[in-house]
Amino acid sequence: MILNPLILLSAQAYVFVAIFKVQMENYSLYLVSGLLPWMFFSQTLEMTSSAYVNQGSLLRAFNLKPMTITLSQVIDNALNSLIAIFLVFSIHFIIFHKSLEFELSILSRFTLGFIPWILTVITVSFIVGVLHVSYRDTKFVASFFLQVGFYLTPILYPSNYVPTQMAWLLKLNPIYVLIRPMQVRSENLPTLIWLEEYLLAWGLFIVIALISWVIWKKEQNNFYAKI
Amino acid sequence: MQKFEPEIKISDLTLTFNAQYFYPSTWRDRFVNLYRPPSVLSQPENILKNINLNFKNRERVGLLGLNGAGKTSLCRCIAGTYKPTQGSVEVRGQIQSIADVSIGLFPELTGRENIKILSELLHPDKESKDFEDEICSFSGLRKYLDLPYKHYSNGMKARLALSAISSHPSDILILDEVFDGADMGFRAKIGKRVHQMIDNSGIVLFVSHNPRQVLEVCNRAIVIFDSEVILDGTPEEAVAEYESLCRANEN
Repeated sequence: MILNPLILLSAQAYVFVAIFKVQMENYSLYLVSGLLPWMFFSQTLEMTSSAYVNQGSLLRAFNLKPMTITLSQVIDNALNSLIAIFLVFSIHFIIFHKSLEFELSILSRFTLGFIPWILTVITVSFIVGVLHVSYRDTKFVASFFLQVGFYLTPILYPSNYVPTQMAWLLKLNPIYVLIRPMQVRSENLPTLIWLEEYLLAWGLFIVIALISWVIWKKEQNNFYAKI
Repeated sequence: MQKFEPEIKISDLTLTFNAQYFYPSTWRDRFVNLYRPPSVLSQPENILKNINLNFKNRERVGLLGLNGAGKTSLCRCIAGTYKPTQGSVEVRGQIQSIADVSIGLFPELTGRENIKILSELLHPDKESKDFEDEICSFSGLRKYLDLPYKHYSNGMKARLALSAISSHPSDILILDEVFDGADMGFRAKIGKRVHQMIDNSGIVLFVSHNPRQVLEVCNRAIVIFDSEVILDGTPEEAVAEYESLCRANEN
């Protein structure tokens, strides 16, 4: 769970820098800081979206709260992601001799940005799992939107590659809003700009949480009967 | 053992399922059904109708009925797994509900690890370490406890599961057809332990298709037929009614 993304990231960094010639300061760090959280989200969603249906007998037999299953998977995946990112940042620091101040700055921004991200992953995984109990193709619908979202979100490419007339669309992309505070960009990114992005991410998480709460309230009464 | 007296009050309980609970839908179906009239399958199905029951401390209540009568659904409503469509279920006391002995057991883990997990699932409010060793010892599986559960015979699986589920009494104990599968020698051993667990529990709801077990264990019995309670009386009366239902059903 740690080596897999690290090897994949190395290959992607090589392809995009050496072959596609992406021109961006700290591109490898930018790639890692966007791709690792994305992989954490997509793997968690993949594992948990049908978990309540698969573990239905366990949930019913012991009257377990469904969030128990989601949380156990999220925490496991999150730990692996955080270890991987820490390893990458450490290796980058050793090889490229960037200033300690820069490294601490990106590490702290990534860690802070990871908080609303992991909360959103928990919430989205939970509600997709709940909806999958009522509508058994939810997992596949979610997977489809995930694939589309991956290409529409500047993870593999810098956000300034998006044409200016389409740039406003990025603000409507929830994944972009949530992943932005974690992404490593310029060494001189002003704190105020980062803070604005960070507060936006928290605001979006609260909206997602509220929508999920409304859906759960509607589904919870007959959740165990439908599993 | 209890600081208060456990109690269950069931008032006008009705449980109704729509056909969608039996036939899970998809987003595609939801879209298509906008343009299609509802079929007869979408009519609601009564699982339990107008149930009114009270259970008090020290009652050992047998639940008898044909397959599909509603016994398990009633137990699930009491345990809080199903929410009533109408009416209410008020419960005072901690509930321990045991339905399927194979659930909560993981094939790749060892017997010992499965006992640990099962103890935590069955008794989340208690320190499982306190009785894990006792369960391991009682099961009689000894060296096999460190083998993966998937390699156990059916009898060994039953020993492990029954040792775990009979380890601790509860305020309210619901036993849903759990005591099958063990070999005769172990059944004698487990019988005494189960009786002890039942004696030390507050209220016991005992679902069984074995009238002899109900007569042995219970001091009250209920017969459920076609989603309704048709008899609430002594175990002898309930067994007689149940046996006549079985004969009528065979014909």
